[in-house]
Amino acid sequence: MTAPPVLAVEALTKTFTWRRGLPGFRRTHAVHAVRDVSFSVGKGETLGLVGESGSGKSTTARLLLRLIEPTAGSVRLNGKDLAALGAHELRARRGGMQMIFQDPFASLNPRLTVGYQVAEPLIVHGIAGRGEARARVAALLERVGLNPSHARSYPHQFSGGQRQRIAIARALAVAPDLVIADEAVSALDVSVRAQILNLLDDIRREQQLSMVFISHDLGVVRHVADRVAVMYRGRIVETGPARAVFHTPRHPYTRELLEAMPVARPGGRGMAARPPLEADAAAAAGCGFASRCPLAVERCRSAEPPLAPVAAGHESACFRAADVAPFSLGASNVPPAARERLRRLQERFLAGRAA
Amino acid sequence: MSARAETIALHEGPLRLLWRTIPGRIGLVLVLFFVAMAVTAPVLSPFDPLANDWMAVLQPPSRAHPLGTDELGRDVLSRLLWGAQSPLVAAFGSVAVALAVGVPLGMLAGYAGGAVDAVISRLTDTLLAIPGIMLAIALALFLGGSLFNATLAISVAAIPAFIRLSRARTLQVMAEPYVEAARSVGVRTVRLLFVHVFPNLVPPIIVQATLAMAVAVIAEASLSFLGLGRPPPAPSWGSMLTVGKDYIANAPWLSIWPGLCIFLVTVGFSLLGDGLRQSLDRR
Amino acid sequence: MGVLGKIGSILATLFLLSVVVFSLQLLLPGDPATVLAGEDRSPETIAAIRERFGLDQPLPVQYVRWLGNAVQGDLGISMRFNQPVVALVLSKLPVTFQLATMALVIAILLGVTAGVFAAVYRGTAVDQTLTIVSVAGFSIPNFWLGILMIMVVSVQWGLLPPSGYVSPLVDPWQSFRAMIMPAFVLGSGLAAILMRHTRSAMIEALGTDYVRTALAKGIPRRRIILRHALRNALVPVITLGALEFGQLLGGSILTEYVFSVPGIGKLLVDSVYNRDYPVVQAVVLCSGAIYIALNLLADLAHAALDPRVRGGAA
Repeated sequence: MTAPPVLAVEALTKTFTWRRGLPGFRRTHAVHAVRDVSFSVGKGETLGLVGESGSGKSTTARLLLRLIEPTAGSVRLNGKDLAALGAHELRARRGGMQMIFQDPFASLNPRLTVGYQVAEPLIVHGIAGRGEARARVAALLERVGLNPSHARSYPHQFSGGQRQRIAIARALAVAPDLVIADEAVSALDVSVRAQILNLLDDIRREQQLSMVFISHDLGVVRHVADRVAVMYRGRIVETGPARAVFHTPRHPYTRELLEAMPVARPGGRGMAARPPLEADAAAAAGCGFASRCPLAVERCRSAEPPLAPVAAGHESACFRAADVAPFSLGASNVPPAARERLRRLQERFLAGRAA
Repeated sequence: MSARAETIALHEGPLRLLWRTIPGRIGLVLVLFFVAMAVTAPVLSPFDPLANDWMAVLQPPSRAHPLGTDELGRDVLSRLLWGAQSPLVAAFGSVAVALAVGVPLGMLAGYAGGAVDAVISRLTDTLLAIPGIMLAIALALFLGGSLFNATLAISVAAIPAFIRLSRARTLQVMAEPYVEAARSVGVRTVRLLFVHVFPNLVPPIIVQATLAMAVAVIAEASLSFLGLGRPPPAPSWGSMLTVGKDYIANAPWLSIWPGLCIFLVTVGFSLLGDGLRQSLDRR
Repeated sequence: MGVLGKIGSILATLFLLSVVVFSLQLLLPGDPATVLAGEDRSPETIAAIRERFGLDQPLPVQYVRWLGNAVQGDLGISMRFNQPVVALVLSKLPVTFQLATMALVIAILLGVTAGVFAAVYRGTAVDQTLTIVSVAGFSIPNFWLGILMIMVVSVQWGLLPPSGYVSPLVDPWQSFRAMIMPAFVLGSGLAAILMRHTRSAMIEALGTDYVRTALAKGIPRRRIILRHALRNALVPVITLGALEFGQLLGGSILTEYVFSVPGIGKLLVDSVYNRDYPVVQAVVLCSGAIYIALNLLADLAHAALDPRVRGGAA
């Protein structure tokens, strides 16, 4: 790709600090929500950002849109550094990037009509007046699979899946270059999820839309992502082409996430019960994952592994990246009859969209 | 109480909402009845409320004077009908002012935060430390007795509650995802506040407003009772009780009717508020 | 927030309160000196008043002067009684305190009991009647209720005196007889509010799993109601009760006037009739200060009770 990537993130960092206590006895607490995160998204490409709650992925999403200010690092949209822009220009640039939120019930204002909310981006950015907006809204609603007459209705009259379609319509209204989907399907029923994901896929292909798809659910990410970045405790620990990362993970955490996926897998282990990630409890030296890592050695506890290439376009932040076992759906305690079925399932799963 | 449930319910017309609940129904009937009384008083009143009749002083209820006459021979019924104007003007007027001042200030405090919020909240807390009726009395005293000043005094006493409510609700709404979503779309402050935040403030504010009207009716009556409302000889239920108080033994009718009217109007507004709260809750 | 922060916050509120009270006199139409002079219109008196109160000084200076005096306990002289205002107000305070305490007790007894019954017999005629009564309770103007009660209880039945005050230290029974009606009138509004709060708190407490298990285990209903649910339901009620004491001060104004109880409420009314402005200011200031103090107490009590309740009890 010779053109600049649609989105280029470099060394993005966000540290929340607060002070507690009386003057004179004040203690400053800090949470390193996002640390030195870098990735890029090309035109028409989908990047899957994966991690459990507390990993910093939602914070990253908000940093991308400048809903919160980064402590360090840069975000470049089509080559332009967003941090360098004044408020007025920033607002204009915001049109280039839109977000779809997790909760379809809460991301739409219950007191405003659907039509208004989809039209609002157009009005705010001065792209269309009231009249033309109406026509555009109708077209958008149709595109996402809803009846244009629904523009006069209110959000509470729709189901979760329909509301998320409305949210997608709103996000697409200004024809953005990049869409950030923050857990966009996590709150939906499994049956509805597929529909929404297919819709996103169609639109993406149609409009050559770039997407950052954030989720804790690897199974979902597999369906949509071209490339994957795995986050743990604010850092990216592995990144690479989706197929490669899923088939041959190069970070123990990635592997653990894969193991925990609720795929039809008798004898599956599931994730080891862990306390949730606390705020910076042990900001000690060394790899943040060391305390839970089955492959950890002395070196892991004393130095933090940098993100280093392990294959073409595939990077991992682990000293023992080469020792991470490849991922397969099969397990030794699967009866032979089912094993063949499982193998076929695995093939289909890993083939993903290409199938 | 789910904020969303309230706002969903409000999509139906407010009147239909009220009619669904029993308290709402009764309250609406009561309030409309007395509003009608105030409006039609000039027409329906059998006597001139200011006309003294020295021949018919302190008459008990009779055919000529269904509710009796007062110490100056004036017909109690007529004075009662005309007397509806003061409390209702004070109720609607004071709440209108309190809304116009209190809600924007509360929204500002909730939205801006920081020093602005600190100053507004501190002022609000200070005013709330003084019992409402006492503040109204003090203000009406220092401003001078008139219906206008009484309404103003009552509204000042009502403003802090609205500031507090608007502020709390604004903070609540600002935390909702749809506000963040609107921001991410690029919506600016002014539009955000007017179009997105304010409509979600409406349900609790309406309920508070009806209760404030109930309080305002009693407040106006109290001020009139102390001679701080509409100056005599203009009739007002409160000032009628000032006289009635001195004639408890020999002319009880002077006290019963005006007080009953104050009571019923207040009940009406309270039930309106109850009805609104119930119907907003149900969804 | 810390003790220091809290004290600072209270001082700030008190300071603002003093500004508000001082500003009241700025509302007076016309020349304040003339107004304060009252009936004595002679130029010498007016000039003397202007001199004494520093009325020709710029406002901030006037305020500082006023505040300086106030902090030392001097809020001026009552024009009507020719006594120092502070002494006047303080002398009436105990009476109002007695009235308010009696009213609070009545309010809690009536309100909480009614609330419990309404919650236990929820949905039945008892509940509906009590709810209607509670709406009437806080809708009824207290001065009207007072007049009605005097009409019936004193004039018709001759049971209780319509006015007059006897100190409880002198004759407790007569004091009680004189105060019971005004206390009831004053407490009725609060009783209605407490009833509604108790009712909803009780309904919530009765719906908890703990209570349902206890019922299933066969523990007699009354015990459950009294021991568990009521205790939990009382916590918000008590906190509310502390703050509503301030509201009682407001209600006492007209109640004391109607029943001629010589407390600060009646003092306020008399001062309104006499246009005795300094006294009115002093009463407002005093009430505000009391409310702030009660708030502080409630906060401290809450902080003290809460962790213990959470940590120790079931």
